[in-house]
Amino acid sequence: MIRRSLMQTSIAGLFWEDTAYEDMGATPGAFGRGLLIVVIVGLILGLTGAVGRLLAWASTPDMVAVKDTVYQGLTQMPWYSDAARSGTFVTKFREGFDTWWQVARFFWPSPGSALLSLVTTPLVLLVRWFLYGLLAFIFARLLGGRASLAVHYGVLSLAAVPQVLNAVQIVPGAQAGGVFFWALISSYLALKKAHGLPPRRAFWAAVLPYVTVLLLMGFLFCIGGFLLSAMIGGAR
Amino acid sequence: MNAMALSLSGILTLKTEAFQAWRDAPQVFRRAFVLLVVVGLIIGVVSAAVTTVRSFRQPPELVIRQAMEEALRGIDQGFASGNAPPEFRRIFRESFRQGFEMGLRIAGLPTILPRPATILLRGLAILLSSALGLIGFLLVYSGLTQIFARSMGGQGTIQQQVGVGALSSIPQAITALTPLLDVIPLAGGCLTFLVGLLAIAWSIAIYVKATAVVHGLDTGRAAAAVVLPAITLGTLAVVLSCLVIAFIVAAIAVAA
Repeated sequence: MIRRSLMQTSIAGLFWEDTAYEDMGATPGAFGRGLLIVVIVGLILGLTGAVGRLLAWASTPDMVAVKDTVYQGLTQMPWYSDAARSGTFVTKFREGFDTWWQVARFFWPSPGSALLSLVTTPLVLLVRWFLYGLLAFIFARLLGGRASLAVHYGVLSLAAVPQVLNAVQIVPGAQAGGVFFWALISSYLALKKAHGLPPRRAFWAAVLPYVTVLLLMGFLFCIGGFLLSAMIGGAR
Repeated sequence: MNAMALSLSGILTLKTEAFQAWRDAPQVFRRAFVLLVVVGLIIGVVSAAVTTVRSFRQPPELVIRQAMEEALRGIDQGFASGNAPPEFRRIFRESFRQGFEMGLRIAGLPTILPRPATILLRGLAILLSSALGLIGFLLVYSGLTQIFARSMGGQGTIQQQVGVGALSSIPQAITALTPLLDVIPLAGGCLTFLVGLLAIAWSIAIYVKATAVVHGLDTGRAAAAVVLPAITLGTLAVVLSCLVIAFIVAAIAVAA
C-alpha cells in the first residue's frame, strides 16, 4: 500500500503536479520517504546503466586491438616518417600515445566499469541529493522559507525522479534530453511548495546552489591554471 | 477520436479555443510528455528504420570507402584552386587516406556481439533518443520564455508553458519524411530543406500562440517573450566564448 502510494506520488512529482508536493510535505516521515525515492531511482539507474555498459562492451572491439591499429596507422603516415628523422621523436611519441590510451581506458566500456556503476550511480545520486538539498535549504531559509529540514528533503526528493529517464541508457548510445533542466524545474517547484516561497525567491533558491558550486569550481580552476602556467614559466 | 482530430486541426490552424482547452486540461504536463514522445517516435521510427536497413544492406567498409573517395576528391579540388607546395599536398593527401584506412581496419575488428545485433542496438538507440529528445530543448526554452513572459505581466504557470508549448512539436512530425526525401535524386536535398523550414516556421507560430494563450498576453508581447530567450542564449554564448579566449590568452601571457 505504501509502495503504491509512493509510486503514485513519484509519478505525479515527475509531471510537476501540485498534489505530489502537498502529499510529500504533509505525510509524516517525509525524509524517510524521500530517501526511499532517491535510493529506488538510484538503483534503477545503476542497474540499467550497468546493463548498458555491458552491452556497449560487447559491441565494441577490444581496446588493445584498437590501440594497436591506431598506432600502426599513425606510424605508417608520411608525416610520421618525416618527423621520425629527429632523434627523440619516436620515443616521445610512443610515451605520449601510451599516456592518452591510459586515460582512454577509464572511459572504455568494460565489465568492471559496469559493476562499478551499479554501486556508484545510487551513491552519487544520494550525495547530490544531500549536498544540493543542504545548499538549497540554506538559500531557501535566507530567502524567507519556512519548511523543516525533513519536509524540505522529502519534497526535494521528487526532483530526483526525472533522472529515471536516463534509464534509456540501457541501450548503448541512447540519450534522454534535458534531464538536468527537468530536475532543476522540479527543484524550483518543490522549494516553492515546501517553503511557501514566491516564484522569484523559489527560483533563486533552486539556482543559487549551482551558481555557488560553479563559482567555487571556477575559482579553483583559475587558481590551478595560473599556478600551472606560473610553474611552467618558472621552469623556463 | 473525432474530438482529438478537431483539437489537432484547431491547434495547427492556431485556433485560440483549442489552445485554451489544452491549457485548462488537468495534468497538462503529463499530456504534453505523451505528445512529445509520440512525435519523437514518429520522427525516430523512420530515421531508425532507414539507418538500420542501410547498415544491413551496405557493409561499413563500403560506406567508409565511399566517404574516403568523396573526401579525397574534395581535397584534390581544394588543392587545384590553391597554391600549396607539391610535397605538402602529397603528405596531406596520403595522411588523410591512411586515416580512412585506419578507420576501415577498426570497423573490421571483431566484437563479442555479432554485427546484426550491433546494428539493431544502434537503431533502437536512435528510436529511444528521438522519443526522449524533443523534451530537452522544450524545457530549456520554456523555462526562459516563462521568465520573460512573467516579467511582461504574464500569468501562466511553468506547467502550462511547457504543457501548451509542447504543441509546437506537432509540425516537427513532418520532418520524419526527410530521410525518405533525401533518397530522391537532385531534388531531394532541396525538398528536405523546404520541409525543415516549413516545420520550423509552423512550430514558431504555434509556440508564440501557446505563450500568448498561457499568459494572457497579446501576440506582440508573446512574440517578444519567445524571441528574447534566443537573443539571451546567443549573447551568453558570445560572452562565454570571449571569456574563455581571454582566459587562454592570459594563461599564455603568464606562462610566457
